[in-house]
Amino acid sequence: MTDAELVIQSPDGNSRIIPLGVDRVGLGRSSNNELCYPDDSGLSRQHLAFEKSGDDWIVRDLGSKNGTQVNGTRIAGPHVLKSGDRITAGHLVMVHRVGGAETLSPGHTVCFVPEADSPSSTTVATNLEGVLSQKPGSITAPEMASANSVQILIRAGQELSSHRPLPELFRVILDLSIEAVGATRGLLLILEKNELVVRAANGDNFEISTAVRDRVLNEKTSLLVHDAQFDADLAGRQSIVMQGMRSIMAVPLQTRDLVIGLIYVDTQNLIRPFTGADLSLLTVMANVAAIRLEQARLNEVEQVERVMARELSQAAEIQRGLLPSIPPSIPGIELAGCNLSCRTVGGDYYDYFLFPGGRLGIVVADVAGKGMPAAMMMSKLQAHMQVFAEEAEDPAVIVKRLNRNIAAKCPNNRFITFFLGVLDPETGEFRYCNAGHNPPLLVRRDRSIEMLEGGGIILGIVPDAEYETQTVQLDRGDLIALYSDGVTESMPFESEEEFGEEKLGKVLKANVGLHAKVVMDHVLAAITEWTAGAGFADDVTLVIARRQP
Amino acid sequence: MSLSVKTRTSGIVAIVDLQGRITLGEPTGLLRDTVKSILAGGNKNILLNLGEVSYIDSAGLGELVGCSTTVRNAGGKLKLMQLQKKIQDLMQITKLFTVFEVIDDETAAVASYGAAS
Repeated sequence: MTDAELVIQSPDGNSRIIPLGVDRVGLGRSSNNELCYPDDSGLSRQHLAFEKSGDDWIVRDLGSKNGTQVNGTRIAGPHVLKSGDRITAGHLVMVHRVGGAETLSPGHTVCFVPEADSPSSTTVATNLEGVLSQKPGSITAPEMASANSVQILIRAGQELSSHRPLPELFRVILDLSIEAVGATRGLLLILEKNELVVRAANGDNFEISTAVRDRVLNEKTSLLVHDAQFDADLAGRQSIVMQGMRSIMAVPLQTRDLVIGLIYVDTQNLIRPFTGADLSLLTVMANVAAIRLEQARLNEVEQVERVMARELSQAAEIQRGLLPSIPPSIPGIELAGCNLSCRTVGGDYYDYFLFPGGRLGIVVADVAGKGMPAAMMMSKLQAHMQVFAEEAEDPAVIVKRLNRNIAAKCPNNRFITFFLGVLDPETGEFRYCNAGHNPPLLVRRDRSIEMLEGGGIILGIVPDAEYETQTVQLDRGDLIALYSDGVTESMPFESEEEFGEEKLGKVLKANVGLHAKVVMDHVLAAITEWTAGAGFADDVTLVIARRQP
Repeated sequence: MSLSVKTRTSGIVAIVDLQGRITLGEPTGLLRDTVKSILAGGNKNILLNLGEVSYIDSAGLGELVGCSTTVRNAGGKLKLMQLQKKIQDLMQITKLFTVFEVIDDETAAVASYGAAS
């Protein structure tokens, strides 16, 4: 409740909104006043002052000739102001308001009244097309095209052209609208998910008839309602009520054919009720404002997308950093590995670990799903693996720990297929544990193939699952290919025929006599050829380990 | 949509006939929603007929596991029926056949719920 302000209405019907920012604001004919009205003959040179007193604002008459009234009563000493108090001095009418639009909850700001006593009223209706097609010389055109209107629209154009965040833009649009037509109060409402939400308000306790609201939103009609005569069109619905307000306008915030909200203003100024020209002006302004709002919204969406794209590419960079850049150099062993994500980030993981005695650990894993969620699980897996590889070497022991940890924390539709093997470069002993991962292929020097089948359930499903370590002997010249299902499930366009283990096996057999890196390149080339440019539907991870002949 | 779903009832069992591919996105969402609405309707005996399902990706498999857990937590049982060769292989590789009860014959599958309760 800190944003106090004054709405000052001068005799010409114009309104100014003055935020009460400093501690004292003087008003009078003299130019040393913050609010200076030299032409108002009803004012004294130093007429009155608004002063801050704790959380309140007070108004003090400075011994003026004609005095200062609050809500119609002349004040003697300092007077503490409440929001909504009307202060009159000279020919000025000022309304004190506390609390900006941001602090207003829609419930208190506006209510839509379907039924009420209907005083006699007269309604002027127009629409954007009507206003824009007015020709010079028609009845309302000269009013619309008055120098004042043009100036107001030029100023609105300037104010709206600068970059502002949406909330500020709402506020600016409403203030411009109020000022343009000399309204006392106003509301800017935006349609969000088919509901009107207050986005800016000057004043509170608005009551807007549902008949007015619906005509504005549904028929894209600009309405001006005076309660002077009975208007058959709306009064039939028994719903125009103006709780003391005598003149209101409601216009659609519309871009081309889309209504995104409405602007509502009213005036208490009996000397100068709204005119048809005001309605035309407000209609045009609302159109300009709506276009600006749409543009700002699009900018914000674009901005969010840009930020997300940047975050995603940073995430991808981080993830690439979690994977080995080059394989470790182990005497007697050739190693080659690669990971190709089908999206920016992915759920495949492979890694190498060096255990005491020069033994080499190789991990290949695949997190269920794709994209960011899979990538986050993958990084969690990587972190666990780093720790557990420090503490143990037996594959089944590590896998069991990983499973327990992941099962405890992972959503129940997520899991990880995981393979860990530990190769002794000296003896060729390969000890491994498979948790539901595609069985690696062991290709002997003589081109025979074995699948490393067996093992336990995928990680993350059964917390107390048992796993066991299996052993196979890798002789000189033998190679092991570890891969994710992205390799074997690669498919061409408009075909469901997968690359499959068999073709993978063939390529491996054909190249078993070559260096691991060359073998990997042959496999990747074969997949690329198979998919014929269709791209990878899943992450592709491949590790080739070959014991030198 | 690559997956279509029909639900019917046989005795005390809700049978869901699935057709197509269970993959990340709409299909997994459809499967989850179907199972949830059967549970919400008060039936905890759910049998998924996968006879017409040609492919399940890892997310689809995850959703099957998730559904199984959801049903089990609700005090019910989710079983699978008529797996194609490819899906059987998938169950074999992932060792998920230890989690799912898979029955090929529908009559036997439906009867198995009565026996359990």
